[in-house]
Amino acid sequence: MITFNRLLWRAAGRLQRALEPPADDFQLPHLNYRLRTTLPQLTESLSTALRKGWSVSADYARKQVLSELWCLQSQIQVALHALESAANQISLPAQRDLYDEFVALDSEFEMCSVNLREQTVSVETEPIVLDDVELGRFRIQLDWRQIRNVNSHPYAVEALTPCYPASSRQIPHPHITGTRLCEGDGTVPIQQALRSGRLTDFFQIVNRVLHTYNSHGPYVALDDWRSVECHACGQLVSTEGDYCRNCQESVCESCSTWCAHCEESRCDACIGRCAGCDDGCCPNCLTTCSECEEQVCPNCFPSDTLCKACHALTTSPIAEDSDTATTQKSPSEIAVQSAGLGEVVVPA
Amino acid sequence: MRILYINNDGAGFADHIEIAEGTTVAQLFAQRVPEGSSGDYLIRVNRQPAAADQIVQDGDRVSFTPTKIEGACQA
Repeated sequence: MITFNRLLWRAAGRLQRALEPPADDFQLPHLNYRLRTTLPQLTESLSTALRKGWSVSADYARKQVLSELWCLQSQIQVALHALESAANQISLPAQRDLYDEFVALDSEFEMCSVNLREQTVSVETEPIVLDDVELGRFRIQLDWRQIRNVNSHPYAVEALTPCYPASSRQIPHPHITGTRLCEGDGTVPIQQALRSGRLTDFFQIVNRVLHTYNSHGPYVALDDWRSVECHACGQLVSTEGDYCRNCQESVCESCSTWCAHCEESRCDACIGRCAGCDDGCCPNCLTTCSECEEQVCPNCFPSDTLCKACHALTTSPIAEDSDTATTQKSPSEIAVQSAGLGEVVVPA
Repeated sequence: MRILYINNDGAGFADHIEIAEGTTVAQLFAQRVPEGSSGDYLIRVNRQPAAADQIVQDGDRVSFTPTKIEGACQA
């Protein structure tokens, strides 16, 4: 047996009052007139990019124009809907029906809460995954005091475990900026559901928009969730792209280099230079000469302790003419050798 | 027999409609959304999930909500 919930009954009463239309109830939604200037500008950018063969710029401009057109379509839909609604007045739902709406929310969603003082009702979605990108759970909170104001946005969608793309900390979902959902095709049914007090329909529709990806009009494309910033230059790169084997940071192609010896990928900060041949070398492949203390690659390090240059200084004269080696050394050449190294007898 | 029918696809209108006695949920769906597949919709009778063979009763509230509704971005 379902027990009567006094709190939900009172909430239904307050929602009913909020749904009552005022005597002079007609508001045409504000249209965003910024579109008048942005659309021609973006179209001009697209034409220029196409004319000059700049494919990347053209692709970017095309997406921007498409996005603005989606926005325009959405605004026109809302305005048309407001006019139609003014002609066909929706009857005020009974308190009992609104009570049933609150009760149904509890079974429709895992988490549902009603705040009578704030006059809000909120639900939590299940974890949302779009095209294998995990976006986490969202809370949808409706402030029913604003439910009839067509120019307000009476609800917020908050990411509970935000997962942002690399390019923005304001976009927790391809169709949300901050806490505001761009409803797209859901615009009119959401407004209809709100004006009729159909809470379950409203929350279901918002939830379904959150579960759907429209690749033609996202704030940020889902691919960006699979991208990270290059550690060196900040350019977006795929999470499956190159990374530095030393610091483990992702790097773009132009900031990535390879060790000339072990061929491991490194970022510019983690690659060294051989003092002998100037090859790019990772720290693991560089050895410090015990004589000159320069770091050299394996090719420039023929002995256990000395680089090629220092080794040549100590061994070449002996190999060529051991009898004269002792007399041909100049004092400055002798001075660079450490004590006990080589087999040179220093003249008294 | 009169029911409240809500189609949350497109304009999302709620209308009182007449249907024949003994109409099942599946039959009603086929009548109202002939091009659609029931798997692509959340189907509720009196705000509760319903079986395809459930018979719709006089005064019921039946709603069809698409599972995919495309959002966009706003300027």
